[in-house]
Amino acid sequence: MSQTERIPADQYRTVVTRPDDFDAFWDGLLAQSAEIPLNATVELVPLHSTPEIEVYDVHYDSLDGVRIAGWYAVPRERSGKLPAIVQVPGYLQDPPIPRSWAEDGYAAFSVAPRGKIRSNQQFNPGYPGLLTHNIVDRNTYTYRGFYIDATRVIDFLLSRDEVDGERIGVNGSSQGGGLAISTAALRPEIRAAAAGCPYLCGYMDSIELTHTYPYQEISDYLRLYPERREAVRDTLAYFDGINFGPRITCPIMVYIGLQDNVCPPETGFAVFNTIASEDKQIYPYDGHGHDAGSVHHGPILKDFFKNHLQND
Amino acid sequence: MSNTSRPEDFDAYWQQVCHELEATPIAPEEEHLPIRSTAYCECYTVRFTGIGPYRLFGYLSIPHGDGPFPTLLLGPAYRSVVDPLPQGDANEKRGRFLVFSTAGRGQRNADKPYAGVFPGMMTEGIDAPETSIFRGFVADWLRAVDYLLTRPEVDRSRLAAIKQEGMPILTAALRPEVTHVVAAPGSFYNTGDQVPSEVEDYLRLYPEKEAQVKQTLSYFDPFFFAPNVQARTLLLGNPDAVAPLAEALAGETDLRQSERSSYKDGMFQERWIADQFGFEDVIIPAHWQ
Repeated sequence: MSQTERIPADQYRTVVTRPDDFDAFWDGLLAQSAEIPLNATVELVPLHSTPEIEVYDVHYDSLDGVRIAGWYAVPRERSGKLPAIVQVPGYLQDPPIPRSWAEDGYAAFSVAPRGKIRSNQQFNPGYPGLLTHNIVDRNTYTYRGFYIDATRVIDFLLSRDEVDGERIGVNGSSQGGGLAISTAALRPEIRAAAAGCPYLCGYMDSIELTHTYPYQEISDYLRLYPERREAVRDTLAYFDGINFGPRITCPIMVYIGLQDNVCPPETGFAVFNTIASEDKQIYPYDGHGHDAGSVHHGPILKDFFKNHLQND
Repeated sequence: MSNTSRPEDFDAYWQQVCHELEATPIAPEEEHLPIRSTAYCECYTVRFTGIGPYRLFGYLSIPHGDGPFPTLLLGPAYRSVVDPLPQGDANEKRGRFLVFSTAGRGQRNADKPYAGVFPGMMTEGIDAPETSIFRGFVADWLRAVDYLLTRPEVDRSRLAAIKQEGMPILTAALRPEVTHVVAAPGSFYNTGDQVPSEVEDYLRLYPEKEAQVKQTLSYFDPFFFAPNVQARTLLLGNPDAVAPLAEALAGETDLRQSERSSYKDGMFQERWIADQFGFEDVIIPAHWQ
């Protein structure tokens, strides 16, 4: 579909529908998750620590007994409890050490949900492949556990003496943007969320709007198994960020590139429109692709979290 | 000028790597991959052997129709994941170009027996050039070229090595069959003053090793490979920083400063490749049209 044939991204109407039992499905999983002890291990990593910050290698238990890894960074000098940031990773990204957040005064946790290296001993569908693993069954689909793995970071942070549990935010771009949406929707402890070019929003829209990986994985799957289209659509409805929107009530910003070739901007507007929060803002950047205008948006992002998490 | 020094045994070091490759059979195994094949291309997984010996991996997409085809080599990058085509590229490109996207040692699908960690892999064996993981990683780029040269579908007049930092420059220097290069020199370029953050961490813990670590890094500085690169090159980066490298490259070179927009930079790169390979039209994703 060419630019001239496409309707403006902000006027696009999503094909996603919300299952009647969407909330019950996730509330059930959250209840299940709450019963699982974290069994967290926290080990200082001198190699990655600096005079300004301490970096820890953290592991904890999540749904289905899968062990999850993450990098936890905190400023060495601190007075009182710290605000916290949950940093959620992109689809292809190896979760980085969240140094800059710690240097800015946050307790920062960068999580590797299941299937990412360091969290792939028990679950490893690979890339490409993770997006379509068990895609016909919502009870075993990749993102059922993956989303919960991200929410478990909140439990870890709440267990830390140095963290102020009333000041936790979530941030990410691309898949991290999608995870910021789902995490903010699933955990009321989140006080502020930022989602850049959110992936995992409008899955079924995206396979029509673009022919690029990673969404191409779903197109590949449906080319081979066209008879499974309905089952795929039904499963994905439970994991679509557009359907998480009505559960989000915290302050949130969404920023997108209007020439995004990975996560169509139409889906960025679609998810933004469903967000229930009264304090929400979208930043569409013309002339930008999957970078989502980060060169312009970086300072705005920092101020957003500073205003919501660092100002008492 | 680079701010690192060219090791005295630089040429001998890389000749040894090339000798090891010559002595190592490629031993390819291709397997058809229906799920990544399309109406316009067939996709295969390829297992092949690099120095060590070490078993490597790649996705090979071959357009339908009569070849040979202009070829894009997307060699090992510094991360765990390898896709059949870079994220965000129009999938239809696989109907025009033969695309070989490969995993070096330590990356997914080439992670047995050595599984890289990110961050972490960069300093693996960094105390000496002989033990640095990047000795093998560069050899894995070369081996990918060797494999492509066994394929009759590859158009040898149009074989591009694409943009995983400076690696395509190293590859084109050691494999003159590479006709085009797109590179964005980063981690190993000019490490005299500024080293990658992982190396910085390592040196903070082991400050006594600074001289030997920097010596190791200098074996991988694209600047020292540049005089042997005849390929037509697109160099992406800060013009002030990469100008010395551009000047040192033997082949014709275009410099492009990033506009810090993946859309604008991506459009430029796609247009450049299309122009170089003689295509009037450019295959770009829907949201770039």
